[in-house]
Amino acid sequence: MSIVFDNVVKIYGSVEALRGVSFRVGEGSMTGLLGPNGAGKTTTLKITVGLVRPTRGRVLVAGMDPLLEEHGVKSILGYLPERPVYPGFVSVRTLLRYLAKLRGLSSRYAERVARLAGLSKYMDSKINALSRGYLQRLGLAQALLGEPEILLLDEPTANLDPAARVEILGLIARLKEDLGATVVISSHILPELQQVVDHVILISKGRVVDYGPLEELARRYGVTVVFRVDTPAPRSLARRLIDLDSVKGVLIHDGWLEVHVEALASGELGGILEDLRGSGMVRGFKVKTGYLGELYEKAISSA
Amino acid sequence: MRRPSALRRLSLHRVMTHADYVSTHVVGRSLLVSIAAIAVIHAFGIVTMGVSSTSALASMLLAAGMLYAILAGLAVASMGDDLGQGYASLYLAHPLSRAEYFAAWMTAGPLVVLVAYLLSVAAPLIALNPSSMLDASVYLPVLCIAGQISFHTSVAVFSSILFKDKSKAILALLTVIIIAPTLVVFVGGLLASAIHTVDIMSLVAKIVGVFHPAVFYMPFTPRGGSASLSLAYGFGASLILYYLGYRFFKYRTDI
Ligand SMILES: Nc1ncnc2c1ncn2[C@@H]1O[C@H](COP(=O)(O)OP(=O)(O)OP(=O)(O)O)[C@@H](O)[C@H]1O
Ligand SMILES: [Mg+2]
Repeated sequence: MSIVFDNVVKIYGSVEALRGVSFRVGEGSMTGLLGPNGAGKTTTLKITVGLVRPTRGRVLVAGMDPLLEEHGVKSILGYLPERPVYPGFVSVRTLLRYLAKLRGLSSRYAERVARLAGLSKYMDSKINALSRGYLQRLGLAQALLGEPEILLLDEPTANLDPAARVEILGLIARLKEDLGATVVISSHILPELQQVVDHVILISKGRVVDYGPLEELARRYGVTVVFRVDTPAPRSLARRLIDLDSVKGVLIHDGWLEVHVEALASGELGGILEDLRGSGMVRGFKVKTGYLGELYEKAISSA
Repeated sequence: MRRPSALRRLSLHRVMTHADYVSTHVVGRSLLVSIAAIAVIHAFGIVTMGVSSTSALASMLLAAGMLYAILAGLAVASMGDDLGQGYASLYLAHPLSRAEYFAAWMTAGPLVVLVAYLLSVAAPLIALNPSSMLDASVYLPVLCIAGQISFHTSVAVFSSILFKDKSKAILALLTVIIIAPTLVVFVGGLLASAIHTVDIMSLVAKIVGVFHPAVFYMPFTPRGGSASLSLAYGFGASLILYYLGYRFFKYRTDI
């Protein structure tokens, strides 16, 4: 297990931010930490890094206590904070080189993460001259130093325009592929998250409502996925698809179908559609509405 | 299993990396240059005055010591903003432990200033008259002032950690160095002119010593102060404040 939370309580003065949070994040997974404002997402991530001391409970990161084995944990961890807390008075290069040095890395690595995050052109800019989008890239760049085994990203797409959002998410997905890291992303923007996560932790009012593989939760809450399938023969394709057990309904449009399928079977349907594309029955298809939003609503309201 | 203490796990490399970053980019080179400039002027002052007139020398040492303390205090007060603005949490999310962060600030502030101070006294004395170093009337004031500088910087360190705010830390420092002792002397003067039965001024000198430990020994106590009280209080109080600051930082729940 990469991250284990065992009945973690965090009280800030009179605010109970976490009220007994328990979950596990498996190695190599891409986990969405989802919950409304004030649910405790940021607190959870800060506790994982060791920046916040839990009031009660046990936290293990790769088997280590973040407060007792500070170096052990921090050297395998990359953290993108929610608020851009970067010192405005230094240049991007200075900050990245200094942080690389803390990790015992040469300045070459500073250039490298800057390149990965698309920041190379701004290496000599003072940080307070960067736009929000570029601050977020700086956040990603510093989180990637030392190719961490575990990446914690607190709302990586907040405050970004739609194009930058797509780009940053694509970047995260690619990095995950390349590094094979365990990734935890906190967010409340669900549709875009669905493209990248395979596990979720649903948190609300300081409690974990549910957690596990996305598909398992999707099955448990009986949520569906909607596909848009472009086809030259809508009617005959609809007849074939409706025979599948997992398909809950098909709406026929002019030149395309809207297929409602059990979330769990969406992968299987994707395979079938892919085959049909070979035979010309299907021109193309894509997931139209995500099920993460529905899952989230159902889980949070059943809590 | 016994864990090695936090101190033994400090990495000198990381402490120095952070101390270098802090002194270059956070505290700013200008403050370090000022400290170096004072060191040079101080050293020249000692050379020109010589070591013969020890009371004049003592006054100059005391004045310079105050300047050193203010500069060191300004340097470490930046830690308040580092903590308050959240920059510290960025650094501490990388492999820099809380203990290393603290040690780096101690290096960039108090340590640099104390070394500069001691060098600026020792270098001219060694050049002029090495044997004067062994003269208690020379080395005791120097040590008492070192204790005082250390005490003042520890006030800045402690209040930076407590308030997480540079301006508040500087205010606390100035309260101890200037505001409080001035008030004490002022009120003492008023009382002394009204009441003649008790020796108010010697009481005032003792209270001022609480803020300026070197005063316990010199030079406003012509009847001869206590060097051991001055040293014990100056270094003792600063060690306690450094330690409390460190514990408070280490066990603070939220950086
Ligand atoms: N340093 C702090 N002092 C006091 N209360 C805090 C502190 N940090 C967080 N809280 C409170 O703890 C609760 C959880 O906050 P947290 O930031 O973890 O939520 P979140 O899920 O990240 O919310 P958001 O989506 O708004 O970022 C909130 O009620 C918040 O006001
Ligand atoms: Mg948050």
